Amino acid sequence: MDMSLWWESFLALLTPEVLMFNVLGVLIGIVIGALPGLSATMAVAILTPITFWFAPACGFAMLIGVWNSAIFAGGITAVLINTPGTPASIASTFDGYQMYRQGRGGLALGINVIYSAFGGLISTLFLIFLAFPIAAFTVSFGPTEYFMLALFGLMMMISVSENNVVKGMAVGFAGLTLSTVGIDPILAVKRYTMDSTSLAAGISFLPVMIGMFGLGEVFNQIYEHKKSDEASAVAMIKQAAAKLGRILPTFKEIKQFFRPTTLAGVESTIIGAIPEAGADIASIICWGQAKKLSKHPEEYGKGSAEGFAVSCTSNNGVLGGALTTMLTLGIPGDAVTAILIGSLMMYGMQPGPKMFTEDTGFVMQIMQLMILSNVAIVIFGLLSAKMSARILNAKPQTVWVGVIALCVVGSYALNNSFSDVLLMAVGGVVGFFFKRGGFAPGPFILGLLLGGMLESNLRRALVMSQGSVSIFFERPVTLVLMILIVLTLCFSLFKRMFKRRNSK
Amino acid sequence: MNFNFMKKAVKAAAAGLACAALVGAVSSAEAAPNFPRKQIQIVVPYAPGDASDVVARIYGKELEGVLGKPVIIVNRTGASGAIGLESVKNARADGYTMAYMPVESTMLKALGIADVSSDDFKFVCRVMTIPAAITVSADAPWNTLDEFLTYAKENPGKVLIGNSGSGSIWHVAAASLAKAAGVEFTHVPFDGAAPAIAGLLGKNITAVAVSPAEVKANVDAGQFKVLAVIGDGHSSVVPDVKTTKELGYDVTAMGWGGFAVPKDTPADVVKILSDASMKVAQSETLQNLLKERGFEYAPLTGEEMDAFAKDQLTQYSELIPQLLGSKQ
Amino acid sequence: MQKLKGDPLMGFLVVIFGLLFFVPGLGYGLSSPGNLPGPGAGFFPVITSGLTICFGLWIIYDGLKKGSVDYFGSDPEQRANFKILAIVCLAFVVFLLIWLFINFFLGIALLSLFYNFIFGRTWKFNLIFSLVLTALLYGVFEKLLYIQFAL
Repeated sequence: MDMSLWWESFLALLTPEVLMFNVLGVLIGIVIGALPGLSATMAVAILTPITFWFAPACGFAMLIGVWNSAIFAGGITAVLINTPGTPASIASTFDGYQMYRQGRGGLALGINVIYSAFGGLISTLFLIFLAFPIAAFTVSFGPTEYFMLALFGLMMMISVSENNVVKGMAVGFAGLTLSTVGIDPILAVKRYTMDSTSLAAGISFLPVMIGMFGLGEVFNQIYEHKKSDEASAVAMIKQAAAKLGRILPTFKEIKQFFRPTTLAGVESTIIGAIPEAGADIASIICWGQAKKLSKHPEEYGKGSAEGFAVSCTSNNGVLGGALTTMLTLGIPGDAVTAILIGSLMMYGMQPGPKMFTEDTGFVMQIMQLMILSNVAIVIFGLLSAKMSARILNAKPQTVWVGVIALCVVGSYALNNSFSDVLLMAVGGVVGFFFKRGGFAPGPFILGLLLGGMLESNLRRALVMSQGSVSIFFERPVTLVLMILIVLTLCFSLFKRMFKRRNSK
Repeated sequence: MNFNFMKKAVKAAAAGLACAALVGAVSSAEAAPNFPRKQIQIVVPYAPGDASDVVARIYGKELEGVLGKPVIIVNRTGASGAIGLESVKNARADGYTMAYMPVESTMLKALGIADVSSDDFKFVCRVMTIPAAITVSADAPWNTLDEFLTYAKENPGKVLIGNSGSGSIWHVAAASLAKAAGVEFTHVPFDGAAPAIAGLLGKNITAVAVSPAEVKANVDAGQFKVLAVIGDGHSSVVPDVKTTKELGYDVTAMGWGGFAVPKDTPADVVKILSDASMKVAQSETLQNLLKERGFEYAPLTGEEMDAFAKDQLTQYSELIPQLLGSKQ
Repeated sequence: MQKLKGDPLMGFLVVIFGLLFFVPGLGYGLSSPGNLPGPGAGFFPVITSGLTICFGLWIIYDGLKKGSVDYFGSDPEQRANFKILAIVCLAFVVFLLIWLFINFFLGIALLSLFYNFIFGRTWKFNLIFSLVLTALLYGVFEKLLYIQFAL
């Protein structure tokens, strides 16, 4: 690494112009990321044409700023209204919302800031030092590996089944089944579409999630609301407001979180480097893994600050990985990097191995911008955390109306689609009945999300191997993942069996 | 009595004349319609930031300059473009809703995905064409298309050729080539061009058929080589590569992009949009963008495009059942 | 037979859901047409819906064995809330119709006014909130982000 060039390019970044664009990007990212239905991809796509008016460093300063902070901000609504602001924050709802309900919302918001930045920084470190080896490894991933990855993610279904695994598996498979609605990925025939073009596009996962987690939660609260509780609820809010000062985690907590979050950061960087595998699956896998390795796994899903910290680290950790693939190979690691590639082409640069030799300075600046953006996130994130924590003081009825409006707008904004709003509404009703019936929504969402990846890669692998299943056993990485999955499964089953025996 | 009759007649005549004048005035006002009077919406059936979306946005910006009214882009993805296209097909035919039309608009019906086709629209222009690039790894043992096809002939089904999705134009292009050359490929569909390219990079497949622009980075980096392009002419991205026609295979299947309005839009509105589009097509910004992105600048007027699209529709309506049917 | 309630009812619904996908799935073919390699379009959904049915049956069995739990019975005040929920849903449907046929912002303003009303907020709060909400949505989504709500 050419240190003098590194220093030079860094200094070139420290102009007020570039810094201003970066901060602007971070602020815009916070707003867009927090609104469910508006994704980081959308934010980057909208801003990209505007950036063409400016120098590459300024334009990228803004885009990288938006990207990092939108992913971070998705966790804010995950905590406050149980709805992830971006798909990357799905795993953050598992613990984050529970923390809020337990009166530790301020802490959750603070953890979100710090550990999102932490994840971003870890992955940037990997980008800087290990870009090429990582890329060489992940690009060899073929359909069999993707299938195993999706299967691995699905294993988490068991972890998020809460108390009743049978119910969890039932809705998990229901979700998988629902994911097949639409056009068959290999044969391009319509399945279950009943002559509706909207259904031919499939059951969009995000509106369903917004409906089940956001709207469904509101319905649930309306149902459970008791006037008699109102007085004590107000008192509790006043109490929590007094304790609001505690946004930052204590030293002891930081020490406890260090190992799981660092591990999650590394895992998510690698997963992010796998083309097309994004933050949603990365955060789910990392969360599930951390739960297995944690000293307090029973707390995960019930408001574990550790679990929440892991989810925050892992969704931002994907960014460095995705950038690795984009810069070294010229192929997009996810939707945002696809747009960034277009941007680079407009600036006359060609992402790929050539860029490292021809535009080394700019490559370094991109890495440095990642660092700057994460620093900016810490500053502005903590400021906004204090503000967002104020929202915790609002009366539930205010929140209800606000959330309903937000869910409607968010699910429409995704694809300018009215049918998505209908999906969201149905998801809300379904989510309500799930909650009442003791069915965990997690496995259902996972099935809906990962079903496509699971099926299309399975079938693709079989197309490539001319129908022979042996392809799954011939590739080393696939075998390793398969063994991991089997081990994980056995481990969980044994644990459950032991628990039953001991509790008898 | 005669006098009264005359008075009545004069009154009637005067009234009739006034009406005629009014009608004349109104119709002549209609002859120069007040279009556009508010913002125009272009529906793009692809995701924001996608190549077609970028082109549509630049086109929209230029159109705004020419027409003087805001032009906004609305993205509606899904079902290989059917969702976005159907929403415009069902929109009010007043010229305020346009669609970005990809080649898929001539293929959707034949694929059985949706009941919408280019016949439901009136084109205002075509902007670009996108040839398919038959691409293999740089270290593959074939240096010409013929060598590649010879290998494919001797090893039926062994050549794994990736595309951006079953039924996509790239799939159809590769299948057309296979048919013309009498070889058997195994088509491996991916969820988009990028995973297909990644597949080739990772040596999981033998070749890809996607747009030249998408493989440019890897070609320049020495990872890929393009054996041939399937299209009207050479690609500006890889100008030395011959077309399949030049190499003796009668195949033409390529992507293109244009703009259209619902077919019942009044002719004078269509004319205004057409003329404006031609001005936009000549703008330097658009041409530069197409060059940067590696698309072929190939403008056609609305009428020319209507005819071209009809040809394409016929071609694919026959070709696709054959290609999918020959698999059966 | 005792009326199906609680878990067995849910399990039953799950089984029905599974069947709705299982039967057409068989029709899509378990193997690909002709000489194409790989399983057919129906392969995956048949397996997943089949497993859904199995687990659904397991839920019914568990529910009948343990004795069903009534989901909605416990608290009389909560039962009353059910009526409120129904009204909320109905109002939502009306909102969707207003959006579809008239205008989105009118719909959302009316929705907000109505909801605040049945949740028992003061008229002053209601009006201010609804106004601010509609204005914010208009400003951010329609003006800033160019998201068109007109259908």
